[in-house]
Amino acid sequence: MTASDRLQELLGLAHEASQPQMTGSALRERFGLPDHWPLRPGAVWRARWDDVALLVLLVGTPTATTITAMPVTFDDSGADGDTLLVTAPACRGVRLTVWRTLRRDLPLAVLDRPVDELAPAVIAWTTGGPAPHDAQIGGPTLPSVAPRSPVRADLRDDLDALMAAVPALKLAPPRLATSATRERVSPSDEQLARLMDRLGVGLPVVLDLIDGKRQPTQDEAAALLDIVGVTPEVAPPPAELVIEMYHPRWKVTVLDLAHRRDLKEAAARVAMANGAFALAARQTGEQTPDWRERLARWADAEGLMRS
Amino acid sequence: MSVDDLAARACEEVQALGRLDEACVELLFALMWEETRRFTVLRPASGWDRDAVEDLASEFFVQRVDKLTAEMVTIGVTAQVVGKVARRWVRNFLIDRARGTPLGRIRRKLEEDMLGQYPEFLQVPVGEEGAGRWYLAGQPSYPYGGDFTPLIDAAYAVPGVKAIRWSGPRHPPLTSDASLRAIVAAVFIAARGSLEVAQLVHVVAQRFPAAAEPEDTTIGDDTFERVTQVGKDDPGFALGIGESIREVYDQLSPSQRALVPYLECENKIVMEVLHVGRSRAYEALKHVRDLLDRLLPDDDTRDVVCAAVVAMCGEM
Repeated sequence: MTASDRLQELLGLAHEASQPQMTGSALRERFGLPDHWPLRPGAVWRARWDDVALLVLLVGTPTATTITAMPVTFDDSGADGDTLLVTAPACRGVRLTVWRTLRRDLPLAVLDRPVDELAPAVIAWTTGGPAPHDAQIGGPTLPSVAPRSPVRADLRDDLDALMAAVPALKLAPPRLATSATRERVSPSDEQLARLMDRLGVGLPVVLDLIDGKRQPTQDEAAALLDIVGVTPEVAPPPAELVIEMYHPRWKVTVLDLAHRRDLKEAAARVAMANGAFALAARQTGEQTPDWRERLARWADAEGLMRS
Repeated sequence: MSVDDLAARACEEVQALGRLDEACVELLFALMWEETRRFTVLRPASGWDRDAVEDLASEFFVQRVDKLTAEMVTIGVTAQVVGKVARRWVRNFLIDRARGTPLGRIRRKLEEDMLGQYPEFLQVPVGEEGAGRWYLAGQPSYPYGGDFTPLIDAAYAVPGVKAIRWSGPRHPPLTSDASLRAIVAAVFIAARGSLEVAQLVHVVAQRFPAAAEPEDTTIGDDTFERVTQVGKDDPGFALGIGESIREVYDQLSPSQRALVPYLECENKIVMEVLHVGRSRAYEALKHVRDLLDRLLPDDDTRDVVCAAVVAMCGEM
C-alpha cells in the first residue's frame, strides 16, 4: 500500500467517524442562550482553563461559585469497577466513561459549554446505585493492586488544575463605598492636568484612576507615581460582581477578551471585573447595581462575544 | 512542520469539520514517531523506521478513530489542548500495547506449556456451564466468579518457587515450568471451580509482579541497554546474601531499576525524568516502592538487601 493509499483509507475512516453535531456552532444551536443551559445534575459540560479541557458530568446542584462534578472521557483505558460505560445520546453511539471516584467540587467558572445530558439513572449510580440497564461497568474491581490507569492519572492532574484555576479575585464587603479610597489621593488641578496631558486621556479617565476604580496599566501607574507621588489603592470588585462572573454565561465573553488582548483567562477575568466595576461606579449612585446587566453593558461596549 | 503547527491546523479542522482530517492524521503520525522512542519493549528487532511507525499509527487510527474524534471535537478547543490530548491518546495506546506484550507472553505460556500440556488440567466441554474454561481434574467445573484475592494468595503459598532472571532485554521473568504447574494447580484448588484463561493470566501476573510491567515505556534505549548490563557478571552474587540481592534485582525490569535511584526524590524530579504529569510520576514511583516491598526478603537481611539493590541500580 502506498503512503497515499494509506492516507486515503484513514481519511475515509475519519469521515465515517465524524461528529458534526458536537462542534461549537452545533452545540450553540442545540442548547440556545446561556440562560437556558442545563446547569443541573446529569448535564455533561466541557470544562476548560488555559490548556486544560475535559468533559465533566454534573452530579450536584451549583452553589454560588462551585459545582460538584466528575470527569467523563471517551477513552476507557483502565476502566474498572468504579467506572461506568454509557452511551451518550448526542455522540452517535460512542460511549462515555464516567469516573465516579474522581468526584470534585469545581469552580463554576471553569464550565464552558454544555455538551450532552445523561439519564438520572447514571447520577444514581454515581452515589452507589445500581448500574443502569443500558450501561456497563467498566471492568472488574481488582484486589491487591491499585489500578494504574494512565487516563485516571491524567484526569486527576487536570482536575487539580481546574480546582486551582480561578484566581481569587479579592472579595470586597458588599457595597464598599468607592469614596473610601477616593480620599486617599487628592491631586491639585495642576497635577490632574499633567496626568491628562501625559496619558492623553480626558478628566473622567484620570479621575477613575485617582479614585482607584480600576487597575492602572503599567504606564498609568508610572504616571501616577511620578506626578501624584502615589498609586491609589484599587478598590476590589464587590462580592456580588465576582460571584456573578463565576457563572458560565460569562465564559465566552471572558475568553473573547483574553483572545483579543492576548491575556491568560485569569487576567481577562480581572480586567473584565474591573472594567464593569469602573463602569458601574461612574453610573451608579447609591443603588445596588444589577451586575449581570452591568457586565452585559460593559461587554457590549467593548464589542465582546456574549454567547 | 512542527508538532505545534500541526496541532494548530488540526484544531481548526476538528472545530470546522467535526471530524479528523489530513492535519490530524499528520499530527498523529508525528506524535507516534516521537512517542515510540519511549517504548523500548515495542521496538522492532530492526529498529524503528518510517514503515514500522506508520503501521502502528494506522493501527491506532483504525482502533480508536471513533472515540478520538468524539473527544477531539468536544474538547479540542485550542491548539495546545489538541496537541496534549492527541499525545495522551497515542501514549495510552502504546502503554496498552506495552502492557499487552508481557501479558500476552504469560497467556501463551499458560495456554501452550501448561493447560494444553498436562493431563490434570481439563477444559469444560461445549454444552456445559462455563464451556471453554479450565479446571483441575477432581475439582468442580462450575465457573468461578469470586474475588481474586484467595487465588493470588494460593499462588503465593506454593513453596519453593524461584523467579527467573530477565532472560535478555525483553523477556520478563516467570518461573520454572514445574513451579508454574504447581501454582496453576493451587489456584484451581483455591477457586474450587473453572477459570477463564484471562483470569488465570491475571492471577499469575499478580504472583510475578515483575513479569508484566508497563514502566518499560518510560526510559530510552540507551538507559535500557546500560541498566540491563549492571551486575550481569559479578561473581559476588553467588555468595550468601548476594543471592537475595540478585533475586530481587533480577526481577526488576530495566525501567524499574532505572527508577529505583529516584525513590527518595521529590516528585517533580521524577516528572522530569519520565516526562509525565504529577499523578503518573507518583504512581510509577509508588508502584516500584510496592514492588520492592513485595520482592525484598521478610527477614533480618531485608534492609541490607534493599540498600544493595538501590546501590546497584544507582550504578547505571
